[in-house]
Amino acid sequence: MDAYVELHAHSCFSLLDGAATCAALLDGARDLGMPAMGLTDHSGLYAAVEFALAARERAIHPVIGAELTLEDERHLVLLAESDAGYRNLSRLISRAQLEGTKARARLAWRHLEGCTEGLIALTGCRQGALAARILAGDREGAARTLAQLQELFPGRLYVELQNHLRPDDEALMGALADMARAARLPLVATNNVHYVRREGHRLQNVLTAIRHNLPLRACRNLLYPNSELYLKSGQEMAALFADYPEALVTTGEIASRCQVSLDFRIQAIPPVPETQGTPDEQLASLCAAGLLTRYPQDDIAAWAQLAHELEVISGTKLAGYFMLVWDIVRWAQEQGIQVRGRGSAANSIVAYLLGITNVDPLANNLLFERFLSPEARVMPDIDLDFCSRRREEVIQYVYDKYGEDHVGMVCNYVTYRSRSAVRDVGKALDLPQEIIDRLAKSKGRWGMPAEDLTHWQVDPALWDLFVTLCEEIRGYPRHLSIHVGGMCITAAPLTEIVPLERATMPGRVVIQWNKDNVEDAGLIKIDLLSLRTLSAIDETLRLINEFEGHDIDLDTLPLDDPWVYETLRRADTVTTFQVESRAQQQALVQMRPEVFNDLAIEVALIRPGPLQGNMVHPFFRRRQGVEPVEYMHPMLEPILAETLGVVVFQEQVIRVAMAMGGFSAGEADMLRRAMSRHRAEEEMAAFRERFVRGAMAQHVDAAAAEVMFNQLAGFASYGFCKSHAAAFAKTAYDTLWLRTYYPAAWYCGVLNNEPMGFYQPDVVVNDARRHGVRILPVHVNHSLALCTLEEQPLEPDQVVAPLALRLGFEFIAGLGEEGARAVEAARPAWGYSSLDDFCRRTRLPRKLVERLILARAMADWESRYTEGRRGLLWALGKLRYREDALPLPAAPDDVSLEPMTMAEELMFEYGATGVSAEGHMMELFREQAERAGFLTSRELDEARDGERMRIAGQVVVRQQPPTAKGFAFFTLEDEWALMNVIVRPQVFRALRPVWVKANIVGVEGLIERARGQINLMAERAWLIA
Amino acid sequence: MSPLWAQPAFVPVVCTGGRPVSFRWEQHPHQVTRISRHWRVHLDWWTATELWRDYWELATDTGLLCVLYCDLLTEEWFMERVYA
Repeated sequence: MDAYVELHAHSCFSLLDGAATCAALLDGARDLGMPAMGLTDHSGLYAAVEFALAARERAIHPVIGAELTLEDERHLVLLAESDAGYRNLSRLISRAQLEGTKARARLAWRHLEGCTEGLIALTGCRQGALAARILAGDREGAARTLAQLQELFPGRLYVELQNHLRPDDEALMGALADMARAARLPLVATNNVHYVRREGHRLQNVLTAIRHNLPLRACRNLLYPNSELYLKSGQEMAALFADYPEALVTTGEIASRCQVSLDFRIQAIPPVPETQGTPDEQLASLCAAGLLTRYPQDDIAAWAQLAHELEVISGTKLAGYFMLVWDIVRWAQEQGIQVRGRGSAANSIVAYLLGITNVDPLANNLLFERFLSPEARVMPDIDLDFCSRRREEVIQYVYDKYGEDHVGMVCNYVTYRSRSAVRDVGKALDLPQEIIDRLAKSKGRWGMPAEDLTHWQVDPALWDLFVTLCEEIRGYPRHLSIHVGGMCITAAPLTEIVPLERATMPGRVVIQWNKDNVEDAGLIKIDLLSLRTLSAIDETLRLINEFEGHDIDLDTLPLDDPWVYETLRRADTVTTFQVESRAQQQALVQMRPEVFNDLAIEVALIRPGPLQGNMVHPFFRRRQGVEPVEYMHPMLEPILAETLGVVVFQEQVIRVAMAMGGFSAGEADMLRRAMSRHRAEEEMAAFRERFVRGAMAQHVDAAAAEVMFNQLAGFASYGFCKSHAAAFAKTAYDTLWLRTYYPAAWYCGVLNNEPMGFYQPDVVVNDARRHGVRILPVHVNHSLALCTLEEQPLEPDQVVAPLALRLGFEFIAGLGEEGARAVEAARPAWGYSSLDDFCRRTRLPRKLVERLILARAMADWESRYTEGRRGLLWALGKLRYREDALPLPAAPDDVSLEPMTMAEELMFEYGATGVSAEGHMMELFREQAERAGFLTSRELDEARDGERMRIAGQVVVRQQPPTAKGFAFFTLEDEWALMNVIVRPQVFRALRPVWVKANIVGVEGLIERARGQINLMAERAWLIA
Repeated sequence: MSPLWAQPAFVPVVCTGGRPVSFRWEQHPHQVTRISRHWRVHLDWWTATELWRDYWELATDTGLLCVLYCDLLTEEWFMERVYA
């Protein structure tokens, strides 16, 4: 390589320093005709994979390196010459990251010893060990440093020259060149690139200000003194290094030396330790056993599908991966931990037979190629949901089994979005805090009327700069966080593949790659996710077993229970998984599910993709027979028939690409991946061209093919794959089944795992009551920390004792888990005998005891006082139990108190617990509401379409989705049911304070009754409370 | 001491390849004979007083030692400093 190659460049993954994306750097390099380029981010290989892939796409040879900061704050640039060098680089960065403090990686010089094989060293910038000593006038120290580096990097050390037109750059270059000559070392020129074009220095300066948490005016000494750190052409560099032409030639030589594969597939999959035989053999054997259990009728189609999948898995060398996931699932199941696979894995019969997923891919017509195909260049993705309370045990198991050196949590790059950009850039530019706050809170972008700028005395030119910089910084990484559950497991030690660093959470370590990098590097990633619904299911099954003696295996549940579908059709779904939201409920009424597949469609349909793609309404119109089912081309009918001609599932994108565009299965999945990851326009253009060409070859009109491609592209980024929808639908079905047949246990499981789902606990409690579950208030002698079930006395006509749900201490505001446990622990076997006894034993703060009284937790003792509950409160006021342990004298007094009214009792109970065991908040306002002509949910149910009506209720859901064009959706609840209210934008604006603040609201409007849905279109509203 | 102009004085400069070759200063022509240092600053871009300048420390055939700068925003030249 003769041309100049930039070997020292920082991307935006030199966090809050580099002001260029990898793509921008490489586009710049391509435009300048550079055959290669180096990436040297600070103490990190975050962008290594992305950079290498993007470079190869542009036919640029990638050089992977990093700039390390040593313990004495000196910099050193290391470039990976070989795979061994890459491994050493990753190890060194890990050491620097883990031994330094968070976001301040420092490497001890001694760690370089024995860890430099395959690494080329450049002596670095002005902060480099060599240059810094020369600048400090310490020539002897500089010579010693150079000798030390020479020893560490024999034949692989280059003296780095930079010329940024600073006053002393010429002199520094001269001194460095002299030393290099004396030590017979080669020179190399770099530009320490931090941005692509000169104007990028502004964003780089802003990033520096953000890093130091200072406005620009206060960090002048921290900024580079000019704008020369941009990507320069060979010609510009030749002018700057006219006295050192050899330093330019060296750049190409170094680039040629650096040959790193970044292919980790061979070392990716660790073997499951105690298994025998090859992974292929193990997998085949386990699947054969599983098939006989899952398909007892010895299904030929199942055997055929299994044979096909095993062949593909063997060809892609992924048997070990399946074995690894199987091992984790098996272990969790053995420990009684609820686990369910979801995502595209549910397309695979192998995953089904191994117990990883519980959806039959044959019965649900699922597409294996969405999960894995012979052409796949990336690892398939298996997501596992675990009971949220016990997920940590599973993570620990994986660490223990495969070793801490081989397991790491995947990171997330937290990137700038509008709001964070406004805050950080605004602060750097010293904009008035009021403006920053206003913009950050506003939903729109950063529009600001001219008169406001005048009012705040903001220079319009500065404002333009602000807007431009906010746009530029969007998408830049700001810091790292931990991915919700992604774990990377490798056969080789992890630090040889990707550096580790400290996470924000104390004691946690993450790898420097996010899920996309891990996937692109061909590494194993398993998502071990936490799902509270599974905890609720787990607890429900335990309660059913304990109280009713039934041992339920949800895996064997038939999926055709008529009551479940009847309940779905009524949209009576509060607390169930995935289908309880208001949008889902409205869709259920239109969908009228009859079979399991309907539920899978329902789950996939009410998603941003289909909603924004305007696919939902056509689907329902077709489903209801209002509009005919049509296909753009007859060849699409077999693919889209199950969804009435509408694209609902990602698998359909693949099948359409195969059928219409003539793609192979693997190509089609690559198209889907490209769509879902918002790939570059050129890449999409290539797919489009390929699709249209393929369609035309099959005599499809080019325009029709274009339309179809646009539909697919619009959909794929947000759509569900069918397997995922089916897996979620199965969980939805299970939850509804449990609620239908074991309501008390189900609601108990739900309340004990809050927060989960869409509704607050008070709505759940009210819903439980509506489903015949008796709710018992918190009781100091019967409650535990969490909710429990209690058998009720048999009524004359009952055979089985009904179960009631006793609220737990956790509902008492401010008591917390610790307080709840304390009340439980201090309780004697015979129970607390009195208020005095309770206070003496628990020594709870007076305020909490007061709340327990108000929550009716001491109702048994109220009869001892003529004033009932108020008397208890009065008695509490007189106790001095914190100071005097024993005895607790409570002198008789002759104060006369009024007992509480029902309304007061209800209000105080709500105040103390947020729920009411027996009442509803609306009872407090019912009389007032009736006087004002507000009707109830019962009357709403009977209302005619177009009828004007007034209703009142407690606001339980407020929604104003960004896609709804200013419409707001409210769910109100009264003593009997939920009610839906739709608010048009102008009505919302006119009565904004009411809509935003009201807890109890009265609404007047016209009834819209269509296809089983009842909505009140609001015209007026009143704040009742 | 070398005089530093509080209000930099405008200087007509002839350049070749961006480097100063000759200029007029105090009614006299000066040929640049040696450039000892060249540096560039780009500061305060977010203010109305953005500074983007090329500085040249040089000697002339008349024995003048001085620092000239070119304002890169306006491409005008100014005398910054004359060494006594």
